Amino acid sequence: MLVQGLLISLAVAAPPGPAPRLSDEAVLRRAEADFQKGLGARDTSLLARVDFARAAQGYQELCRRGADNSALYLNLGQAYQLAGDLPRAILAYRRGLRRAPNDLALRTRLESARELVVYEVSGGFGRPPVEDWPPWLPRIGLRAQFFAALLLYCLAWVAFTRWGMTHRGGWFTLAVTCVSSLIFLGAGLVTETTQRSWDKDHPVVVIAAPRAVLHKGNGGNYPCFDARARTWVDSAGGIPPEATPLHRGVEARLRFVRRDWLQIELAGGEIGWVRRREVVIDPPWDNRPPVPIV
Amino acid sequence: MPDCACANCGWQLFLSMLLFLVPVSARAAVGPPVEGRPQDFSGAVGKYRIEAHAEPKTLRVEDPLLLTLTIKGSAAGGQPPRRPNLHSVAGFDEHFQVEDLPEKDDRPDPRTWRFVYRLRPRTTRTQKIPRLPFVYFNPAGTYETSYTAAIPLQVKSRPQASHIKRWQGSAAALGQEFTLIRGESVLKRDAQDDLPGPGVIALFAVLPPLGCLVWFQLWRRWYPDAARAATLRRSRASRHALRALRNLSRAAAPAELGARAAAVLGRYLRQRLDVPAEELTPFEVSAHLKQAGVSETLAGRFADLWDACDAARFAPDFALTRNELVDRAARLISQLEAEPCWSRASS
Repeated sequence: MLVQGLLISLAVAAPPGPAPRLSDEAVLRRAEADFQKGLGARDTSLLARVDFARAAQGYQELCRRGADNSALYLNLGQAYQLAGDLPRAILAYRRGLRRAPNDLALRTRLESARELVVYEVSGGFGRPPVEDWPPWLPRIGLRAQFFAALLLYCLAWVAFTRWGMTHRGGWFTLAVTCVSSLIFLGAGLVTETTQRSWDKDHPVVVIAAPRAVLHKGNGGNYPCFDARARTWVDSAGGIPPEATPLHRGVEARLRFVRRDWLQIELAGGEIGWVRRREVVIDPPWDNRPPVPIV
Repeated sequence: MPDCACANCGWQLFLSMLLFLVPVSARAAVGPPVEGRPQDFSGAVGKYRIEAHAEPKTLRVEDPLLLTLTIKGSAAGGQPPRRPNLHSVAGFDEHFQVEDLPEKDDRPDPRTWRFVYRLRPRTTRTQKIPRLPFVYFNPAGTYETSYTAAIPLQVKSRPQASHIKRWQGSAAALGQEFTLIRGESVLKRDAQDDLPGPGVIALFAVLPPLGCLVWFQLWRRWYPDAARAATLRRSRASRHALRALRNLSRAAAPAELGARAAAVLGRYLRQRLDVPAEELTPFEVSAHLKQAGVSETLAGRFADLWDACDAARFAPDFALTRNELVDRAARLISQLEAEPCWSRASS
């Protein structure tokens, strides 16, 4: 595995010296060609992974240049997934779903990627949050909700004015109905805005190390979390065997950053610290320089 | 004993006597009976006991463990036990990948046979090595089964086992599963789905009420009658009076119509102008209205209407029709409500 990773890294590394900057279209064409090449080389998985990794690198470069749409994140996630980088694939799918919450392809891919994640213990530890939104109900964007609320607001004022003019009960009923709907929609808007603000402050973190352990503090000597006993285990003499590892692909939310340590919160509410190198995370928290592409 | 003394019968007698004399153990060496033989019969003849030992008992999926089956007993001159076939144990292959290790088999003593296997649990659902049967033939004449004890295992997931699915199917199938979206749409930058800024929100909050206010003022200027009617509808007394007038039955006789119209108007005037509750004459109506500040013209019209009601009650031939009566009454109420001197003072 280590050798494979090393080979892939070497294969996608940039050659020395300055290189002319490719246009966005050229980067896209190259990424698509690499992806196709990877599909063709499926029999030799290492070579295919190199191709998929190159494709992912191309799509990542497009993201860095400002392209921002659900199709791009779907391609990026698929390329990462086929290249064997499950954590980055999950991160890409989640970024795409943040962009387009109703994208069925992204949702399906995220589900399939999550199925590949290994969980150490049964129960909810490390598992992704359960979404209680009915799958048949489309999610309405914030802007659409706002304009719906604005429409109701205008309608309520018109109805009140007409009621003031005519004193017909029907207008009054319409106005009250509009205000009630407006309150309902407004509550949804406030909730959604608050949630987005929280999401923005607590970006998604995906475990990328094979066996990351939650520490109680920002240091390796702090106790480790034992999910079976739901207690912290002393780790002064190294990682204790009772400590429950988090495997690659486990999703969490970032809470605080303290130098090379991140405090994360799992969907089940468990909070602990992991090393920065053990996770992948969106910029600007991920301050590793991007791999140049030529 | 056969009665016949021929050579054949003598030979048969000899054979049966010989069979009687052969020891039981020697008979068993010939082989266990086919009749009633269990399907999983191991071929062993004698008296046996089987035990199992596994190491390690805690492992990850697909990690190996060594299973040693120890069979102890006496072959008693019969067939010794052969290596049990674990593939034939129901459900065993679903839980374990089995590898025979005959080179590790052992005979520590003449009465003990050891058979070694390498097992790899396939899933984390595998929680034990089940009881394994060993079927042998007891020379006493029966097939018997000895069982090992079940060995509990703790099988953990394997971190690297299933991160990426193996390359499966054709490139076309893989391409179908992982559909790439091509073209320039991948390059675009979608607009952020955010709320407008606070300034825009404030503008949207202020504009509708302002617009409605302007509309209302314009409406009042352009449609003063409608505005007056709206004001009229605001007076509960006038609203009730108008509704009562509209509800006057078309089928009612003129006398009844006049009486009810006068009653409605009287109640209205009592509510609006504190006119006494007694039955009023046209003159009294006019006087009360003038006293309340209503113009002389309007007071006179009310007196005329009262006359019309009295005419309907007492001289039906000269009475107004229902519609005329109701229209006149409604118009007068409307005019009275529009009078500026007192209509705003009470409601």
